[in-house]
Amino acid sequence: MTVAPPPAAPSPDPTVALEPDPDLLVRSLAEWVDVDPVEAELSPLDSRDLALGLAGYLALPVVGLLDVAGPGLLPTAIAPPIAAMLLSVPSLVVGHQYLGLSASPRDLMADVGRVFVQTGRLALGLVPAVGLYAATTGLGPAALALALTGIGLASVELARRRLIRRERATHAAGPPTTPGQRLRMVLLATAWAALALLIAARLGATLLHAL
Amino acid sequence: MPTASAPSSRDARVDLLDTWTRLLRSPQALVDTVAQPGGLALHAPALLAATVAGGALLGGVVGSHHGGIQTVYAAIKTPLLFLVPPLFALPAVEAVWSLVGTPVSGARLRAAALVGMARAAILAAALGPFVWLWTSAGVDYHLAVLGFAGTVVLAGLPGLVTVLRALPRPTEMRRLVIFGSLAVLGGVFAQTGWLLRPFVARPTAEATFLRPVEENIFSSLASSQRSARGRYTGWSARRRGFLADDTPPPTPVDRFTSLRSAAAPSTPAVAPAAVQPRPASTAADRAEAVPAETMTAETEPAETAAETMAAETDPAETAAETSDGGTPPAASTDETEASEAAASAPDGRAAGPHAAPRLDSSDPSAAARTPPAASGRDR
Repeated sequence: MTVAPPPAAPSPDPTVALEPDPDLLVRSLAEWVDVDPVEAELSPLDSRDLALGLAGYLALPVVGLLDVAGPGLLPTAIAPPIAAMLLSVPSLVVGHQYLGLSASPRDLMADVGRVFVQTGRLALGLVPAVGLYAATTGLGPAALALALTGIGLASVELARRRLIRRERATHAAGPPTTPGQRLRMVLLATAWAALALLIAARLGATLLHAL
Repeated sequence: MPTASAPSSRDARVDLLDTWTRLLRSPQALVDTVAQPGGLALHAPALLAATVAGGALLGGVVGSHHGGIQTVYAAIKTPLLFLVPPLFALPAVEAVWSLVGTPVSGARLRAAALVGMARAAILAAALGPFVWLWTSAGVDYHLAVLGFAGTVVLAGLPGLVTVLRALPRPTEMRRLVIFGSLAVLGGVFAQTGWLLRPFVARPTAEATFLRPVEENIFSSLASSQRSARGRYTGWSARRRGFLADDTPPPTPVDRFTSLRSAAAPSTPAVAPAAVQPRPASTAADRAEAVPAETMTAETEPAETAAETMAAETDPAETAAETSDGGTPPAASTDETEASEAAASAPDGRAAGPHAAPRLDSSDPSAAARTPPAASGRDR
């Protein structure tokens, strides 16, 4: 009994491989910046979280600048994260609606605000370490700048992930998302994160220059 | 093997040896036990005792390189090297874990930190005899410092791993969370070690419990790196930070006065003997060629402000001071410390307690009177 050989695979068309595929490029880029499917955080913030977050944003610059500057520089130190959020969130919401995505703008703003408050708590946690350097060395401003940089990076990355998940969660309750919608949301959130980071970095550079 | 069970009223007493054994054999189970309600109060004394005893043993060993009261000082300070950094770093670690949606309970975090530092201290104590053999074999001061630092790092790593394993796995951004936590902990640990210096005092130096609050570990490392490359640009040990004794920086008027004093011809009131050293080809040669007299201060005609004079120090002495975190000779405003530091030759041998003339950093004219021939840069 003879076994028939499997049919030969068709030869690849060499012209197809040579042609650039913009969709493939964009999809690859989107997959690279996409996030794991973790559930979106929907729990509301309580007043304790809010207070701790705001206390962190206030306490960290106060401690970091205690040795080199008076309270006059405090608003400048707090400005980068607040300005980055205030200036970039409208762009996010407008872009989101313009691209025809599904999540509620109110939910998007809530996600960004939640991350802002939670990273404020991280700032509060960094107060002892920054305070140690400010108390015993002249590196208080440098430690503050380093801490704010880390907080900024963590903030935008977390917010980006949560925005993408928010869009997915919206589709999970309604009609399924299309690849195009998913791609647009990933790219929008990534672009927003980059914009927020650039704004914060620009203001941070101003702060360092002022010192 | 004891099991990780909740402490009961009958189990009110904790056997020290039993706890210390569990520290080494099953630290994660011990963390689970300590994190339970009531576990911290029950086990904290034994864990703190392990930290203090282990740290004191290692500190006593490294302090014995200098001998005398420094042995006691180092034995007292070394446990603080394990105890203090978690106090400053744990709030940040807790916040980072919470940020990525993996909150850690305060009880578990405290238990992990307590077990981790006790484990590190016990391991440090076990390494103590090797350090003693190393330092008692006649190694010089710098090698003793290196031995101490290496021992602390070697013992600290298992403690750190214990803490990280006791915490829940972050749901996302795991590498960033762990790297950030380690960065905060490492930075705080480095600065704590710097503040608690010296552990290994130079053989000719007087024993001191703590050095003044000045500069930081990073400027010290940068200075060491420059010196290792043969670029002896000095090290500006200024007292900074809001806990430091603030010496007001010289105003422009002070600088102008200093420059005028330098320009005016005057006879040095205290003229240290200027010795022309032989040409040195290596860093070690340069270090040995410079007598202590020329280490005290460097003065250039255009660089005679009191601040500048106080900041300049001998390169070899800088390297020595950097290792134990000491104060460069003329950088300190404390006369005793300045002469003590200047009396030490680069290799730790005595250069005589009166080798360094007193240079009052608050007197710019004294700086100006120092002749250029005594400059370390001229050798």
